[in-house]
Amino acid sequence: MTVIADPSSATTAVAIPPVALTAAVVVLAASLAAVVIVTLGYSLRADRRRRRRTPIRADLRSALLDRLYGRDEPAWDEWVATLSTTERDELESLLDVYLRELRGRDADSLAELGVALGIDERARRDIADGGYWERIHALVWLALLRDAPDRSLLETHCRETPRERAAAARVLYAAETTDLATTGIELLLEAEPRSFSVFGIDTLYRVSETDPAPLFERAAADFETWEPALQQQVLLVTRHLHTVVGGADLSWVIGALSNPEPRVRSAAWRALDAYGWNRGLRADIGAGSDRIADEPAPSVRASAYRALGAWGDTEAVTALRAAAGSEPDDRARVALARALFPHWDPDGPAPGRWDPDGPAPGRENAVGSDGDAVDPFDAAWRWTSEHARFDRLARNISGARTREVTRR
Amino acid sequence: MNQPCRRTVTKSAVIADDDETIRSILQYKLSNAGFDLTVCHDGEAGREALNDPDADPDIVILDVMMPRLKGTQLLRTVRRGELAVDPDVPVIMLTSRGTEDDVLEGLESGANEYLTKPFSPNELLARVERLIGV
Repeated sequence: MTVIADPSSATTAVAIPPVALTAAVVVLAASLAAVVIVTLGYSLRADRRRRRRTPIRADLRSALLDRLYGRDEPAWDEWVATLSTTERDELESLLDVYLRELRGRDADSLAELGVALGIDERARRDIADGGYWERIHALVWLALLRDAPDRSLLETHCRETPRERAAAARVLYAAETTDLATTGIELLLEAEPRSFSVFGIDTLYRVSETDPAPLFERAAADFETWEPALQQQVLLVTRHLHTVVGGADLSWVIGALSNPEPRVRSAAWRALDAYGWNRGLRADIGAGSDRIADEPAPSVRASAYRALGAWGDTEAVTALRAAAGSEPDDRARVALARALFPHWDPDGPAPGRWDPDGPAPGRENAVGSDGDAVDPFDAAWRWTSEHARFDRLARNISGARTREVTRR
Repeated sequence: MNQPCRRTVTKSAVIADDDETIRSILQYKLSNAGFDLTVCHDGEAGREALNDPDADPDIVILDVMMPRLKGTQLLRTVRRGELAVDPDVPVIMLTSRGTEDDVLEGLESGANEYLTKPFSPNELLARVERLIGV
């Protein structure tokens, strides 16, 4: 290669010999052709395999359903013994699909087919000796078969990544084991992940739904040390849990109301939706005091209003009504109006009109289409009222039919 | 698929689901229970089946998320009397969307029952029989 350098210039020109250029083009073209040939080859092979297997799959599906629903005893072992390797392979694929759609007695029966195919034993072997993806695949099968292996197997081999720990917890959930909440939370929150994937959040929810106590205990101990993203996710899960724990230590949720991150404070308010009945907790929160008014982030105030709306008792409604007179942010005002609406006479005057102190900050500047001054909360209230009216109309199916019949 | 030997066709059902697995389960379970079935692969085909002047099913089973027409939209058109089928025909929604909002939306659309996947075909059949008074 010849390098021509001009001492007076900062740039350097490189002259490539034609032979090298030709060789590079040939190599590139050959590589491209090889890729095309390999891709076509794989596609043709896959297509031939699919064509060969389609009738096999149809026959197996029919036989599977016939044994599942058409007989008193499916006799899986006898059937599996008559199948070829290809048929067994295809049957596993079918079993995977059906196990995802069924539960109850039919799913239990299909799980026995999985045992007849030896899937459970193979999955245990893969967990013990396989690589990462073999272990994940094995955990998926055990979850589908609702078959929890020994905890020592999970604890020894399934802790490499948050995904793998979530998959292990999912097996316990599917098998409805008695140690689901304790072992599940241990697996999920071990090594304190920065945040969960969607699968991880869903698993955390499922693990905590039957018994939230282990999650709450863990959060009470470690919440402050977690990353904000993880804090937000745990609060999100807490918000959606239907199982309310009476004597649980929720001081960590109240502490999160003062977290430096607005998204964590917002999630903390929503996590309290289900705890309006807890007077002690309410007193600790001080929702009726200046806590909400002093909150600088409108999105957090909006979440606080939604929580008060979910509580919905006299004290909460009074706090909402008081806030209606002073909320300066448009979006937070709409959230406030929506929170208050279910607890107010929809045909009565807007709550903000009863503010005895006159126009509040942010309420005196809005101007209506006709040029008149409009009370900002009144505008939010009317919007909410209109939205609720249309929502009722859209959902009133029998009313719609009556109107239609009358018109005819 | 073998036909059930004890089949007596006295009841009929329309099924609309884009998932072949679910369709196969419902077909087998309901035909075993003596139902004459009209099976549709999407919402629009379901609408056509329910708009047939001869359509008089005892029960309709709909998936929520289907190509061309959602199950909830189809159900609303049924309940509004816009199709040939009896607007009060019992309808079961069968779907993987199982959050509280989804269930409420399904029931508010006029569904008599709302089952989430994974589901128990035995439970489904019990609900079908309760709805049609078998």
